[in-house]
Amino acid sequence: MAGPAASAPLTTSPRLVLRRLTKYYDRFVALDRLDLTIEPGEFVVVLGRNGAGKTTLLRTLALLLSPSEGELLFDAQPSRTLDVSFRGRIGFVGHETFLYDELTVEENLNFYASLYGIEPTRPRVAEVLTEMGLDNRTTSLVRSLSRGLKQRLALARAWLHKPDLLLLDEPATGLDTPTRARMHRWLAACHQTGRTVLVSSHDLAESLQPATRILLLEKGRLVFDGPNAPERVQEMQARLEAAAG
Amino acid sequence: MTTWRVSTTIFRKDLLAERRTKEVFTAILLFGFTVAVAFTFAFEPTAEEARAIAGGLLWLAFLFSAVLGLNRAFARETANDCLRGLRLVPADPGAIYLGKLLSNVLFMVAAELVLLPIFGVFFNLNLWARPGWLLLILLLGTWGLASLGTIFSAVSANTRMQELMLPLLLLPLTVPVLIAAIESTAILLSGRPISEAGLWFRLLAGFDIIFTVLCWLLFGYVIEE
Amino acid sequence: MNNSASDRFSLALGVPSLLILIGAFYYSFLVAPIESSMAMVEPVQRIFYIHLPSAFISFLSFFVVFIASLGYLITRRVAWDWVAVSAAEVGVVFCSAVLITGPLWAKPVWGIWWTWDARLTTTLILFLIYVGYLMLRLYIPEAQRRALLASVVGILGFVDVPIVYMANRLWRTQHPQPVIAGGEESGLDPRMWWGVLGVFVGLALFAGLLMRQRYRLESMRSELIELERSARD
Repeated sequence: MAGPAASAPLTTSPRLVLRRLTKYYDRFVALDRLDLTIEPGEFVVVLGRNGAGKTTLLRTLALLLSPSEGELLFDAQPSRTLDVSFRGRIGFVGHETFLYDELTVEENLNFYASLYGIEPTRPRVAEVLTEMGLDNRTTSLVRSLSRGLKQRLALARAWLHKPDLLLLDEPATGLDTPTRARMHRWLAACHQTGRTVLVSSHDLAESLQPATRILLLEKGRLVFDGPNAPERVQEMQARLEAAAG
Repeated sequence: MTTWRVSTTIFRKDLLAERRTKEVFTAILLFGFTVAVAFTFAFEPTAEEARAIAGGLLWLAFLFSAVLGLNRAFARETANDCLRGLRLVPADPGAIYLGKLLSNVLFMVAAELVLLPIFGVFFNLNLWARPGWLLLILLLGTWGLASLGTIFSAVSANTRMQELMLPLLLLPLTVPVLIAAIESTAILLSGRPISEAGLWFRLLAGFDIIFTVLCWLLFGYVIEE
Repeated sequence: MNNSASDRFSLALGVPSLLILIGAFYYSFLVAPIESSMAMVEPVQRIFYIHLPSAFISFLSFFVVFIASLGYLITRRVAWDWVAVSAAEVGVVFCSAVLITGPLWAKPVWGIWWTWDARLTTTLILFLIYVGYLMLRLYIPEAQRRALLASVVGILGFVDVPIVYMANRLWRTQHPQPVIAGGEESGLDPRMWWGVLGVFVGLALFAGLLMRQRYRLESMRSELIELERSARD
């Protein structure tokens, strides 16, 4: 993963504002009155144990979920009034890869590139494949790829349309240490171009270095919000363990 | 424009995937064939009465096998959460519906074209007298089954009883398609003038248009979270 | 929620319903004349006074499901979904009444339990469509998703009804019916219509009462879930 080309223009990421954002499913409250502002160009790590609401938060920001109560604003515009074309500014990597096992690496990217209306398709796909270090696997079926390669391809898919808001839901899960390090370098490079990056994680050791800000969720509530600093690691570790206990 | 691009892209993706796995086509074909064989035990297959009800048997076989194929076809989008990936795309969700509908119709018609001569041999039918009309009935009837079948396969994918829910929803609602397709096929097979089937053709076309438009409009609600 | 007010509303539906039904049944069963062609099966013929109004009410209920489904998709207010499920259940109950009284009437009059005439067949398909609708609801545990998917089926199902009827109608004209002479309301004495109308109004109020009660149950369930949600930790 070489990181986005140096020539990539500085983007103007949207400013995200959450106002008492709540999402519930019957009795279960996934997000509980979140108040939060994320400025363009921030690199945010969302920490929390499984079920703390990280996935719900990221999916809501990706416009996959609509809030039950409260508001989500992109550049002061409420999410439900956004034009469908706004989705083109968001890149999202979920727990699953969103890839078709029976298609090859290149076919998957061609497919998504065409859905995003990228013209011409091939040069951009080739570019992303090189960037992610997948150019020697273009004709492999996704089914045959390792977890690490699949995750790289999932990143490539989310990066095809050069979104200016990158949302990654536990992207490091199941990756070995070198692959993880490469991904973090790549994300840091993305952040360098001025993009907003949100990454969720339940294990802070892996994900704190490049972040500028830390959010900690517990049972759907925001319990910590502050800038990233080396001394935070201990504190966060303690809080995550306390939540586990 | 966006809708057209997204639908055809999904259609071409399904074609590519199907060419590799052939799972939807094979499911429809094998099940349809099995049903055809089972039907031959219900009565004397080459008797005159058999020809009279062959249209009905044909469409029941198509319907049952379509249910199987539709479930398989939608499973392709639920594996690896692909549907969520599609929902991220800046396009109207109806475009996803149209793409899936097109590929479902194609796979169903392709399997039906193989099943037809098998039925012809089993039940001693004269299928090739007016092939153009037969193809038209096949296309209109299959489109009708697929229009509701595609949206219901997405609806039932949300339930714990997916395999049961699809036929439970699809069968009663597609009764008009079944009646019209069976009747017009019977007219064709019995050698009666095709003008007798005029009303059936209109009914099929009307059904196809109404439900394709309606499902296209409603599909977004089905895949919403 | 003001319970006493709701009870008053139910009372306002229930009491007139009871009074009208007593009057209408008395009139229909004991006063109204008997259709001459059915004189020999006189008592059975009176099933008609339940059969026809029940059919009207079930169609009306399914129309309410359709409107409520549209209402939910447009406004996203969950109360529309409570209306939809209440109307669907009441509709299925009255639809069952039609399907049971139909054969009871057909057997002595026409000598067969079931006739595949367009109206009866359409009613049967209608019954299947809305049983499917209720089954679907049963298998989706989460309220919002249930409301969404049920609304879609509620709309598609209702749009399908006239097409099902048309198809059956056409089908029947091409396959002449066996022994049946005349439709069900051909040559009806106008006085019989008064009986039908009376029973219809009484049953419609009763259906309204059932829907009201079912709606309240659904709204209380939802309230309970809301309370449990806010009472966690």
